[in-house]
Amino acid sequence: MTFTLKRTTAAGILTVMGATTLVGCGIGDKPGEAASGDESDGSIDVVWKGDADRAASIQEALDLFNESHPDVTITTDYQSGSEYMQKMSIRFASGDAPDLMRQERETLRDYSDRGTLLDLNEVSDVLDLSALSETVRDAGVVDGKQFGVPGGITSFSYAIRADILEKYGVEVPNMESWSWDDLLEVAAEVTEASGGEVWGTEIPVGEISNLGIWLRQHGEDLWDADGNPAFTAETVQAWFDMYLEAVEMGAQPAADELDQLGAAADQSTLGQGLVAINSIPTNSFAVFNDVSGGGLEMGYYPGESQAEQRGQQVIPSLYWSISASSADPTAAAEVLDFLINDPEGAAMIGSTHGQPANPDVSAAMADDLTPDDKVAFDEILDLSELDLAAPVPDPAGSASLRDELASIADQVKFGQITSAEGAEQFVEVAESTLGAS
Amino acid sequence: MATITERVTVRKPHPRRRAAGSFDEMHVKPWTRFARHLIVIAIGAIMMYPLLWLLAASFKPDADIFSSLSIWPSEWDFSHYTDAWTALEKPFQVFLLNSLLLAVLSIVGNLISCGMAAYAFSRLDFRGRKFMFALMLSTLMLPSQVLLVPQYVIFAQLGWLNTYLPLLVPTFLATNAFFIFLMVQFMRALPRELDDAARIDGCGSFGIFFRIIVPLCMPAFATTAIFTFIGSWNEFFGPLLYLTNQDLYTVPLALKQFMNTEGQSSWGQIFAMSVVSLAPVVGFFLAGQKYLINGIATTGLK
Amino acid sequence: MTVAEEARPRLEPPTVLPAERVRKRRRRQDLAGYVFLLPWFGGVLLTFVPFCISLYLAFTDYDLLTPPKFTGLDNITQMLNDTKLHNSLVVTFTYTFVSVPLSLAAALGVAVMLNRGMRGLPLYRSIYYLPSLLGGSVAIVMLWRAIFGADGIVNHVLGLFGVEAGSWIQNPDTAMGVLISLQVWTFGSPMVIFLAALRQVPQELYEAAAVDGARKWRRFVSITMPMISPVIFFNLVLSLIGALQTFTQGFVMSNGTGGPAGSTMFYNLYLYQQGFTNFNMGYASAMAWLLLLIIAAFTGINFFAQKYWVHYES
Repeated sequence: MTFTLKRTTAAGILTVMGATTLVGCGIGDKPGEAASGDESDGSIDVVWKGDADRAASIQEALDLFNESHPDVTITTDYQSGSEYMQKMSIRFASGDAPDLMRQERETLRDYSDRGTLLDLNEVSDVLDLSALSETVRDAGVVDGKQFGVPGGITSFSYAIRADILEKYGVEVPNMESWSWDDLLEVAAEVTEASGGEVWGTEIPVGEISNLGIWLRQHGEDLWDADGNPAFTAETVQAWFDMYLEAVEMGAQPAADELDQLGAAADQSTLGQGLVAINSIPTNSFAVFNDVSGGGLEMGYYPGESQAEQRGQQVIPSLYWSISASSADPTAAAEVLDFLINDPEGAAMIGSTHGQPANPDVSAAMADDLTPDDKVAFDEILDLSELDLAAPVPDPAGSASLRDELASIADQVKFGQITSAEGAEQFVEVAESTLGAS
Repeated sequence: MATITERVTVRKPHPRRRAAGSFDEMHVKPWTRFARHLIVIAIGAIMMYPLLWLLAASFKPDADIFSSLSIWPSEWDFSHYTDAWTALEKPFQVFLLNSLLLAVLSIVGNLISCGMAAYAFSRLDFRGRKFMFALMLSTLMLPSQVLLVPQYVIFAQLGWLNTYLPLLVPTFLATNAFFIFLMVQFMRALPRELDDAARIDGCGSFGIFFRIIVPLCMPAFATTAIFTFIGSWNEFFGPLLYLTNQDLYTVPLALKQFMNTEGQSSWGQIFAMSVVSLAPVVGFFLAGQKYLINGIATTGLK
Repeated sequence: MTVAEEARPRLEPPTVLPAERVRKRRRRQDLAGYVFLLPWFGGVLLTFVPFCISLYLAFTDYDLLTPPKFTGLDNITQMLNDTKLHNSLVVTFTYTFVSVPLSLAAALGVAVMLNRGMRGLPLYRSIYYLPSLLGGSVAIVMLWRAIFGADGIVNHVLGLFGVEAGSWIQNPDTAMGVLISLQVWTFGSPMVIFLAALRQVPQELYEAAAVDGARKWRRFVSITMPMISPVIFFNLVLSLIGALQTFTQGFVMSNGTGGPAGSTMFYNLYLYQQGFTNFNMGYASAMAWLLLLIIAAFTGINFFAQKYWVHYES
């Protein structure tokens, strides 16, 4: 009895070990050596992040592409939230990477540093990026290699509900030249004048892009070209301190006063009229204005004109990249070229990705824009002509840094740690996560 | 606990036999009984309120949703349902049908494979039975994250991506220890004399299984079917990972596509589609609650 | 002699020896068993091969995009020094050891009340059970977010009493409480099991105790509790295992971030972050195995302790 039990167990273990070895060899197949998923079957897999509306626009553009390229079959997929990147990483892990995909600012280098993305210079015969400005084109360059093409450009801007300010008799500040102090003062005024009905503003203290703007205004930055942290604890602490001051002045609600149910315009505190001044993605002006009943005004960040260096940046809203293991990179590059350079295709995508990266294309679109979209368009154009720091792809590990800042900021907001401690923590975390791979 | 030697059904208590707990019941003052009823109703109301609110909110215009507590909309707005139904690339019934297909196939798979395994564990004697039974039970403790990535790689190597196979094949391979355990409990309760009688009549193990055990285990099978339906209907990560074709998407995946933080997401639509996705679960529950509750009660005892 | 033997009627028809016959029958039975278990064997392969792979991955550095690199015990050392991991354990344990007793107590309490026999019992039982079917779904967690938000129902109700409160889900002190309340809302499942168990308690025991002069509470503690202790045990073990593995609720409630200031960073949520946001799949596998060991340990402790408080009829 025991003998047979041992024998069956041993046999079982050997089988499992054998199967394990076989499958284990399948994990992490080098890009290019992968198994079934990458046989060229004439189809290109395109994936992106977004909701159903965006999907409809992109699908239209792809259909238009098919009219002139009927031999290319395109399969698509999209997810609307964080599961987009989760699914992508698993697809890469099993050798089933999509051909053409959206990459986020914070994940581009995570993928390119590990050799999984194609250097687009290799398909430059098909993909023509010459119309893009150098700044925009270089936004996707790492060590001289082009790993991503900005699919659209945008920025962050401050927006004021002029209708609310008017209602409570508060003067709208001059957004070309206002300072952070001006912001806090006006905001406190609004809160008071409205009797607490409307809060003046919400300092986006835990949001890393905003911290970046602050840092650049103080002559620093989140990271340098090599991907190492480029800021000091003092400056970060000043950022946290400003938040605390705003709360004290009544310029901004306390930490758990308002909910962020979602970043969508109609769910935002600005859109709902709970807050009068806030930062928004520049290309979303139309949506926000629509929800605000038309009373929105947009302009520069506070402190821009007083700072030693302007903090705002014109940034890619996303990158399009091609997988290094793509079976048909030429076809993928053709699709990409169409999305970037074809005026009709771009018109279909509209402004959902921000302003088209190709200035000729975006100029062609300008006449067909709605007034609100024109406001955003002009603002981005205006920013592009200022002397702003050129964006570099976020270094590997920046995605987790983003989460860390939010968490540390929460702790400061709720008084669990002091602003000084928060700043120290953030410096430590940045040093260990950035450039560490 | 005493082994169950009778077929488990909810029987009305014999008129002469007192109901369980009724010993105390006889000695209780009417106002205590009233108070108890009140408490039970109150708790029930609190329990149901969130669901009723959800239902009502799906019919309220967006502006009203968070402003009122009532579970009866002052204004009826059906647009959430109609808008959301067609908001995605495919009309919502595609996703409902997909989820239904997966659920039905999963039920078939679970019933067959878990039933067979349970029969082997409870009725047959073979070498290694105890060891395998313990192994089977231990998989209950396995967190699913442990298997996530390796399983994906296996399915990718097999070429099963973008099909329903990774979701369905496990159900045909008796991977759900909970259902096996449930059925084992049921089968153990059936008298062995039936088996012996059948054997004398010349029935082999297969015959016994099909002719005797299966018919008598209907409550356990019904329970398994209902739980499988609910589990399959609510499953999110499996379909997320393995399905890339919109045509194949299931209800939870479609629902998640409403929760986009970049566009304009309407709570009304989210709630409306939540109601649509929860309704079949509730429906199944109402239809099969007798079996469901009996099934659970049986697993617990022993 | 031989003639007589041949004349005697043969009483033993078989042509094989008894021992062989037993072995043959056993082989046939084994065959039957294995045939019925064929699907399960397939399932074992499907489960155990990934099981072993993930064990291997736990000792590697694996970022999903490049092949795994063996790093020995590095992941384990990292786990020992990882304060976020320790924090997630605290969060998970807090959630488990508060929500499980609370929901089991609620389940038992309501079951006892319902057990008195009242009209409409099936209706109440269904009403209490329904939430537990829906509790794990994304839609319900979103609903809870809306209910406990700054402008949600809870604050509206509190407002009626003149109490001002902020958003319960944005506040690190209360965010976990919201999730615990969601878990307690689903007490219907253990309750139904308790109800069935209570019915099985023989009335005679109560009668005898009453004759002896025992009061109601005493009867509960000395009769009811021991008699249903196996069921309490069963519910306890399963609930613990489930609570330690919580993921969806934390993920949806906090939008994947682990909530305000890490207050809803469940162990599984942190594991997910490590694996998919930070590209540390090797570390995540190690974490998954640690969780398995923790669950096994708790289950083992429970099984060991049952001889002290669980009363089985023979």
